[in-house]
Amino acid sequence: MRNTILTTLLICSLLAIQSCRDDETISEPIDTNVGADSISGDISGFYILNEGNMGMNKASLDFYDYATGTYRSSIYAQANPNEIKELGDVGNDLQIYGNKLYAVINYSNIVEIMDVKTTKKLKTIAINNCRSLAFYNGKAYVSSFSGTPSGSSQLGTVFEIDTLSLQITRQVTVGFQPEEMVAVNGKLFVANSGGYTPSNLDTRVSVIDLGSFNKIKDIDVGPNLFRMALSKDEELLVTSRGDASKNIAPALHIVSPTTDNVVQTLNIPVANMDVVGDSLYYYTLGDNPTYGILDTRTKQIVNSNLITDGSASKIKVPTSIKVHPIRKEFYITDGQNYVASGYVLCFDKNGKMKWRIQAGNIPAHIAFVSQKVTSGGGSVDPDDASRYISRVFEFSPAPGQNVNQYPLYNAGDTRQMMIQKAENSIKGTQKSLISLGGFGGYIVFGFDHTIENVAGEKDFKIWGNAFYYDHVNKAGSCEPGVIMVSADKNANGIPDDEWYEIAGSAHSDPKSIKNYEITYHKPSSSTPNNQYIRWTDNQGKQGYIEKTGFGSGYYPAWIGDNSITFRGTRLPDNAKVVSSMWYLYAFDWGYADNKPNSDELSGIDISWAVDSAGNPVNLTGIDFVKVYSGINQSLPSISGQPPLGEVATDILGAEDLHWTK
Amino acid sequence: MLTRSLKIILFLFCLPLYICGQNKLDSVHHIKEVVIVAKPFEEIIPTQKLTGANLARLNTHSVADALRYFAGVQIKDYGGVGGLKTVNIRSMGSQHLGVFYDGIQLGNAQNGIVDLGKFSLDDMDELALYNGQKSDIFISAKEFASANTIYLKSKKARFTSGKSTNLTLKYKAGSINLINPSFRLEHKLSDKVNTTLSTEYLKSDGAYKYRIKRLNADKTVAQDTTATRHNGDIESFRIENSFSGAIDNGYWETLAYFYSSHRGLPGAVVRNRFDYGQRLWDRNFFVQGSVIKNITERYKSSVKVKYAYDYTRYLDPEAIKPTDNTYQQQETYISWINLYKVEKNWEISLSADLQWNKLDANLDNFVYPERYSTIVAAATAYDFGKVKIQANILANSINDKAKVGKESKTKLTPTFIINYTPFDKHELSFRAFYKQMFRMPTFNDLYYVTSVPSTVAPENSTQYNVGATYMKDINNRIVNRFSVQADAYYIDIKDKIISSPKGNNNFDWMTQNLGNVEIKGLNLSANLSGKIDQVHWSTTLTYTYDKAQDFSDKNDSYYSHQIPYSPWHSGSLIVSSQYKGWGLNYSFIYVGERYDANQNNISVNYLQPWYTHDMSVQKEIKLKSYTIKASLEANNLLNQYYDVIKNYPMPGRNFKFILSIQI
Repeated sequence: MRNTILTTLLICSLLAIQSCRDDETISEPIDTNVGADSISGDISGFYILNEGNMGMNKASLDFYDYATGTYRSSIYAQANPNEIKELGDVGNDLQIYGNKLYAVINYSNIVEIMDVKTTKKLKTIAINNCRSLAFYNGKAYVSSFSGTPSGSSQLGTVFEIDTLSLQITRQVTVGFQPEEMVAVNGKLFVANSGGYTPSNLDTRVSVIDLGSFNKIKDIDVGPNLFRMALSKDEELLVTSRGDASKNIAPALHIVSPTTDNVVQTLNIPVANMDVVGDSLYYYTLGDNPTYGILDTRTKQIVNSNLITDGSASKIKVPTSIKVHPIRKEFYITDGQNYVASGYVLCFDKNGKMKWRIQAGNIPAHIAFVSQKVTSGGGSVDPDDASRYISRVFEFSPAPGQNVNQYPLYNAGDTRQMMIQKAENSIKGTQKSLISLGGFGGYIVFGFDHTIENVAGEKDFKIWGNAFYYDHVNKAGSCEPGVIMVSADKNANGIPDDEWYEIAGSAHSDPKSIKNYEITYHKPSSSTPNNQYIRWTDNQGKQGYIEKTGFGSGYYPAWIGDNSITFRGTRLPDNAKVVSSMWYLYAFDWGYADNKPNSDELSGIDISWAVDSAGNPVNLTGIDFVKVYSGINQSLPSISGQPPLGEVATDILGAEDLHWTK
Repeated sequence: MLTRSLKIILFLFCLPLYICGQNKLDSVHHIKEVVIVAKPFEEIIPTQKLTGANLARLNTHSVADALRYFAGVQIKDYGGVGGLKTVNIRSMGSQHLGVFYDGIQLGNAQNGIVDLGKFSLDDMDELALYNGQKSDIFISAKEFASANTIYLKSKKARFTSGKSTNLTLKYKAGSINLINPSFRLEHKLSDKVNTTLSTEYLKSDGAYKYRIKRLNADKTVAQDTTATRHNGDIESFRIENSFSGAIDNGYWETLAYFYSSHRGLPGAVVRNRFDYGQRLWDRNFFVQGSVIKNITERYKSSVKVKYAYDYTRYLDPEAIKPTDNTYQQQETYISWINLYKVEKNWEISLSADLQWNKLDANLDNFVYPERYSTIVAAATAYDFGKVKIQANILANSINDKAKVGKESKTKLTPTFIINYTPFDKHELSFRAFYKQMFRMPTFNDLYYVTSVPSTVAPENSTQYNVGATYMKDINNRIVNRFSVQADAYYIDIKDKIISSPKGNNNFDWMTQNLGNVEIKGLNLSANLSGKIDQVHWSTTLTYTYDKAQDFSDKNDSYYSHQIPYSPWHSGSLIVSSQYKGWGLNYSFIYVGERYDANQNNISVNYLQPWYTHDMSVQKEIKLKSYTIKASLEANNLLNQYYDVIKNYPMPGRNFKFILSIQI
């Protein structure tokens, strides 16, 4: 009997050693420090999305902070403690646009939109089987496997989300199982995989016209398409995973986004990639991947041994590669066995491993966070101030279809608030579009340093959204704006000094009208669409800006006056109808939103500046830039197509071309 | 602490009965221990059994639920009535477990896993778990060929004198909208031949509440929500018909079995997905028969045959490419078993099994694999008196034929068992065994939608076990019998078969022999039974310590960590008591902390311990020739919300009522 009790006691005490059940807590961040680092450019850190194995609900966000060198894992739940089941199941893409962080959570069927600074959820948008993100002109595009049944499968869908209202605005059907996308030249290119039908893989890149949001064509590229990026020269880089059953190897394809055809196919089995400058950083598919760099100009592999210190063997399953755009440091995420925690590895630009940190379950997506650089500011690396716009001083668009939209006007916004919104859109590397409307609408911005006038060189560049349909005649969607420059002679930091016009190629064109003045009249609710905005000018003419199907903006809503007047040099009309289509021709040089940003002649030489009398001025440098819409031309309906409205200069930002850190 | 609660429980149980129990029972009848510790003279291998009435008293419906009370058993339970329940013994993996129904294996060539949630306890006489193999060498080659074996023994017809027909009608109703009527007929066809017919119908909507509650780091409530489990419904039907009979110096039996079910598959509860649409249809049919005959005084022989047809349909209307897959498996099996008594203390046996499996499916690029297995076992057993030894060698050869080619694999594995009973007067024995075993790669491992067939070798296991059993009859006022058994084990699994996605390509999988797992553990179980006046009581306690480490790759961050879903500590307690026609039963299951991935140093993988308290009360009334039994069960009394498998929430407190009439 004593034995009995002893045995029972023994067994019970073994059970009792075990702790009981506690209340479960939300995931808590874990900090790892790799030592303080410096900030380069305006990149203050990066987010990492850990995908999480399917069914485990382990998608999570980590953040690396350069200033402190702290890697903080699993930060979502702490920022959003009330969110049931936290970030969700299987993250698939992560990107930042403006001040919002977008995470695509595939198996949870959601796009989670968060504040970049706080990681707090702003909105959850439900999209079934969502995959990847792209952004363009204030819209987010989300590809989804889900869509229209076709055969035994489904054609996928691309959804458009307005990045201000955070509402789904439009959707379009694309190919089978669409993956990554690139938006450029007013078009969205979508890589279709068809991966759910191994016997009949999709080979097409779908081309979506972002104006009409219709699929305008498919480009036959290769089986099982996946990744997509845009090179500096504005060529699409598309990966295909090949089709073993047909002996088609994986490859990298170069596709032209203007002619919409495959330019070249390179026999490189790229698994994942990132483009910085003229370099495509990549690693290959397979059990023993190689890590390399392809020159996107020559299409030659310039480095096939990116990791130089042998630490590639530490990477079990690479899941992504991302390059710091300024330092050229690169990061590789390692998914390990997909079950245990993965790793993030940081390599210096020479390919030596700097650090390796445990991340969450399958880290696979990195998004760099830009920190707004303030003049002489805080933690900014002193020899690395901004090369981009630091401040917007004035923003006064003329009526136009995208006015009140880019940036978005909300009821009650004042002129000052709209200036701030314009600044938020184009400051730094934000690259969010703002529209200046019809002729005369303008913006004034500055840099945190003087842009030097270097003899014989282009000194700065204004980013627009001009592109060509017709590369030979350089025509397409070119909406030239006149540029004026000013130096802060009185050194008070505000643009109250003399302005000089950049005399572009059309300056001496007799059809240019100097000292042109135009007055726009506010419409009433009963104004018919085709006479929506009436204008009168100092040449004794009048006309209308038509209300098209596209916009809903027109007269700047924050202007109380019933009319607004603008002055400046009116450039010759540049839009012509060619075979039933409007073509907007580029001028040779010297304007904003006139040539594609990649074109060297989109750069501006300060030496082109002239005074009000038309005489060249010799400026050593400039501090402020003014851009105004230079064309007064309406594009009415042709051949039954909807009217295109007025020619309006659009701006995405500006850059000091001499800047080196 | 627990001992005290145990005492309190015992006291509470017994008190009211004790007070009521004025009269002494005229006839002393033992109630059997719930988990029988095998008699040292009969079993030479670690054995645990649940039998007859004890099975009925547990608040369990399925075989899988009942197996939780055995030491060394881990269950993966995906929740609810219809949810998948798989069993693995000593962390070895489900494929290392052989499940035998009336002596013939229940197979699944497709994935090697038998869903024991499907098997109802209603028609079971006995559930037995053998670590290693049965302590007997007169068994089929397949019975030698599993690392661990579970035997399900169906109820046999038993007739009290003068009766030739027994009929039982049973009706169960549960709080998870469960109805479960069943019917069983036993009939004596002649002096030598009996037949049984039993059927069962089960239907449940599987909808139960579960709660998600999470605290902030400062212990304030971050979230607290209650939701309903969806798509866990099930409707199933089972019918079995058996015949058995005696022949000269032997007997024969046949069984025809048919099971059909249609169920929802409740998926993982993840963000924004609390409902799913996947459905599963199952139809399992088999006929089997066996005959055993003593041919001479020294030679006995047995033949077993089986044909099985399994149909599965899986429907996923939510998939991008809506899936409606059907799988058909066929199996034919024949076994010939021979035992020859060389001397009084020396037996040798030879058994040879042939098996054919075929898998058809309506999948793209499917390869229609067929497998021919030849398994031969030669064994010997010698009884030295106090020492008994047993050894066998097993040869297993498979030949696969598929559209993409042929595969052949052959393995030779030995087993040694030794048992020592030092005293004649004390029921004490020591034992040890060494067993090499393997599992063949399944059809899924080899042929699952890959562009190239995998070349996967068998997964090998080596088990070492030492243990002891001690029993004692005690003439005590309270305790009559005591037994305890303890086994320590070391298991080495090499070439573990692991499937993982290929690189970044999520559409292609590869299967490799990558894993290496070492398991060290301890199983303990103890029974006490006795009588307090007229109250018969019994209690069983089990405890398992199990350290199952992943030693696959030194460079892995999780090298030497515990493998997923294996708790270090687990245990169970059953206390039952009977007084006249009343029965009261309490059971407790504890599963300690564990991780859902093979990395243990991170909280996101951590799973809390869970433990459930179940209770039931039964009453049996005899009315003329009828026996009426009523039972009320309460499960998960403390209403603990827990997951066995991450994101598959289990039911909270629930009730069941059972009424049965025996004619």
